[in-house]
Amino acid sequence: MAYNLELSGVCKTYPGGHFSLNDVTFSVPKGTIVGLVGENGAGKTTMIGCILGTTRRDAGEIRIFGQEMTDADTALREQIGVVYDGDNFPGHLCAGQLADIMRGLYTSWDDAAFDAFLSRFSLPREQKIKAYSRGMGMKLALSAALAHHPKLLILDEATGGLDPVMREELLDVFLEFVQDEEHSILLSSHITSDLERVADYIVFVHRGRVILTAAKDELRYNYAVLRCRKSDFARIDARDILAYRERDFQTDVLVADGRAAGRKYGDIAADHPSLDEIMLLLIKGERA
Amino acid sequence: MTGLMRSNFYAARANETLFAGVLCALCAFVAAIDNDVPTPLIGFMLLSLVGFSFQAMASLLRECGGKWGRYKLTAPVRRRDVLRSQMIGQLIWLAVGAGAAAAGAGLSVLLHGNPFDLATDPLMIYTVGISVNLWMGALFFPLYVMAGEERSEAVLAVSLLGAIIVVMALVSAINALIGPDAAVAVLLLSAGLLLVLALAAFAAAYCLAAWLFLRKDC
Repeated sequence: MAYNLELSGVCKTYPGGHFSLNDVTFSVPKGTIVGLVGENGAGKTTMIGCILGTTRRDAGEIRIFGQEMTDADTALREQIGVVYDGDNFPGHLCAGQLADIMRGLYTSWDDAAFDAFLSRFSLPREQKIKAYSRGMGMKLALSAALAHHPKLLILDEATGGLDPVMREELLDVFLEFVQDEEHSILLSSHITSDLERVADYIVFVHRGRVILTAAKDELRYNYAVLRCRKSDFARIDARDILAYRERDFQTDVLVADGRAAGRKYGDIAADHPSLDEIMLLLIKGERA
Repeated sequence: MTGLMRSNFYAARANETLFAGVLCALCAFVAAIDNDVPTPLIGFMLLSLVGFSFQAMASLLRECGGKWGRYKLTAPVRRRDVLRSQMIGQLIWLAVGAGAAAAGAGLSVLLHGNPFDLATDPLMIYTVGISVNLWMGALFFPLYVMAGEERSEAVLAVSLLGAIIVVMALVSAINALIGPDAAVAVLLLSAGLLLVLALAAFAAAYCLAAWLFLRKDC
């Protein structure tokens, strides 16, 4: 399998030791969308900063299109599109001025493509960005990120704070982008429903660590949550338990193979969990 | 670099337009009044030489609020290109200010005659103004990279005040060295020395700021 992005053993500790990334390892294959999910403060933005070089990592390797990217590797950055959460661009600019700037930054900038996106998203060319709504700002950021024909899109909470209609529109664009099997997206979000819709792989992050990486379909169809009484919990083999959470009258147990667990513990009720529930169990639950 | 220069220009445009308007009004005032006492004219020239670059630096602070500063680093530019574009921008605005100062001085001389005692006086005014401008940049850019967004306004104020103090100190030292009634050649050499020191400080500041910026988490 070919990868557009590979992280291996990435570590970063901020001065004061308040937060650190520890041994982060995951990859983004070509033609896929990888969702990076975790609670606020889990380290998603720090990881993205290390990938893009805006944050200096202490250890580990990051390969983009098979190469380590340094500050001097401007040719690599030509192929990366970025969208941050919030205000990507200064409010005093309008879309036309932004295009002027981007044309001077990217040799592969495509004015026709940018105008096509502005038209598709109904974004006014002459209106100041500070007058845009949040959704319009996100659409503009995505237009700018796509208009220079990148191969890798990195989106940091790009759908946060948007209404469902707007999010649906953006998610459609993401799916179109990866239809070409050479393109990939790394999409960081804590809105798991978005990732359930578009992601091929999910990377769960908690307190600076990757706690689980799996294909979305595997999570959806193979993973299961056993709802057992406390007395039944004692029967469950520790090797089957990924995480568990004791509640008032039952214990929820996350297992990787629901079918096998069903054969083994047939009398215990099992559900297919949502990504939300998996995330909660991994983050708030206990490990065996 | 082109994209970065355009970004800096658009950021500065609103501030500079306002400042240019104020300067035009000042120019009209200075041209209208008699220049027997050249103080208003000297003030206008110094303000032109320093003011445009000061406004350009102030406009950089507008980037502090959002993510644009970080976004630029994800574009195909090197960190030192971002810094270089800002410092080149300062020099361009210095040239604009020099032109405005020349225009104002020329108009005043045309209407009221030469108010200066010595032929070298306008050159000295230019030397002091350009030196303050360059020292201001030399202090601002490394401090801005080091201190970050939280202290950006304080850094700007400190840079301007610091530049004025440095130039005053250098001028006082040079005056003490050459004494009163120095020959024209000595005055010109002194002016050259002041400019060379300012340019050297500006160049050294670029190297220092680039080194700091390369190691900074943004």
